Amino acid sequence: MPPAAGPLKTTPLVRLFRDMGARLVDFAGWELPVQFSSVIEEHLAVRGAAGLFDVSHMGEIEIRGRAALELVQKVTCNDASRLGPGQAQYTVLTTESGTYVDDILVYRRGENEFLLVVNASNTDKDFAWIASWARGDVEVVNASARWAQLALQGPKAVTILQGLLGGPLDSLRPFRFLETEVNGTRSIVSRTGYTGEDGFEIYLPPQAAADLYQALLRAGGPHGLRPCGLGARDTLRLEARMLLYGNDVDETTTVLEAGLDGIVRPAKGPFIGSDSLKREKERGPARRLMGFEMIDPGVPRHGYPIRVGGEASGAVTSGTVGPSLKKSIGLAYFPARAALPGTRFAVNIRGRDALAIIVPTPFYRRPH
Amino acid sequence: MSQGDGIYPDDLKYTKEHEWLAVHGSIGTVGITHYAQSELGDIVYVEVPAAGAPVVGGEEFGTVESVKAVSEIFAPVSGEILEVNPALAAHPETINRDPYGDGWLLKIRLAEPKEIDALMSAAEYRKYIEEEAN
Repeated sequence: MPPAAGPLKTTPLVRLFRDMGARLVDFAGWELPVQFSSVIEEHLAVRGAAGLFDVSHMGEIEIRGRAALELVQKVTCNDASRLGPGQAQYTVLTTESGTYVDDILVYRRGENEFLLVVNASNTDKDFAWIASWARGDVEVVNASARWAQLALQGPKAVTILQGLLGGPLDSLRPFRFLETEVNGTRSIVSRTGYTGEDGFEIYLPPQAAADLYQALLRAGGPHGLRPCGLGARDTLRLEARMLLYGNDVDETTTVLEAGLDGIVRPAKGPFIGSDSLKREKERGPARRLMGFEMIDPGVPRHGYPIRVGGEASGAVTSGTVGPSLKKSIGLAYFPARAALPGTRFAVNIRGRDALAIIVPTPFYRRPH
Repeated sequence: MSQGDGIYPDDLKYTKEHEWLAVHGSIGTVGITHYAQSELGDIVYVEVPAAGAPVVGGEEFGTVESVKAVSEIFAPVSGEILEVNPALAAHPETINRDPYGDGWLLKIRLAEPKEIDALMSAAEYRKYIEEEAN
């Protein structure tokens, strides 16, 4: 969907970002920082120390009521009944054909209360979709305007955030969250992220976001924390093979084609797309999203055509030079028979065929 | 962005596509300007033809890529490529660090010295990018 015309939407931090000299761009209708100093420096700060991202553009949809779990189970492919209060899950809002309405995080805040965090550009679509499936005692609310979100990511994140928090953070496991005061404001602190590093996503009221952002920058400065933009967010997530809706997955790609078999759980009972995904699982997906590295020089980018065994075979879905890898990497869909590490193929880089090879992913795995 | 003194050296000529040209006799050295490298951000890849290839003034002859974007480079003047900066293959970020020095792109044997007259002076280029930024 193209971004709506008209003035750009802004997060509570836009004035601060202008003062900081960030480079602001139009991202899906939002005015957001693409970089503060340098994409590569910001990327490496997250891998080596910590980075702070404003991701307040993300959408939040609240679902509550006695039929809340039933609705979440109906519209997503993962099994939300496995979540206890305080647990989060990565999942997909699926269509009847098992493709993506969106990829989302589900937070279970209580027995009958869920928070869904969705992609900014899909918020209105997702809300309308979920609301259309609501039956019985359940309320669906687009609460996006009531939540800001900051992501603090990197090996120093726990040390930096601990100083602004009452309780201990060390014991908070991945995909668990606390509802607690951070910097004096009640917030959700979730051990999740989109970078491949340890870290936290913090959800809080918009009016408290600028204070927390500055408090984190102050607390993190001595630890090497850097403010980071969307440029570094994209290179970090791609190195970790985390997918981007609209590039890697959309309403034409299935969850199994994307390689996320582990979050497709038909055993939980019927959900939208479950029949289709079951059939696809039995016969095997026709194509698979795989990671690749360039052998020839060049940078693969979204939309560049690929040829496998001489045949046109789709296009690069994401590509970049991975700053931690110092290699050109990318993702693309391959016919099932060719979707194996070691397969060589050609990426057409502005008219020139450049050799590339499918490799195992993630490209980057954080050291333990 | 701020443009302090020295960001656009007076002894260079400039194009509207943000290349610079330094002329020494019949040889021109070409690079991209401080403004161009700053707009692009971290440069990760440079692609230009090898020595011996002809270039035509005003026409695209290669690309400079940053993490986020691909930018075409245009020849300030016509001629034959004499040398490509060998350091850029391994260290394209040199262009960010030193766009007028170690980050030069290539040297050209000038075919039409008169073409230089059509390029901008440093003062004209400064004015041009101020207008472009607004």
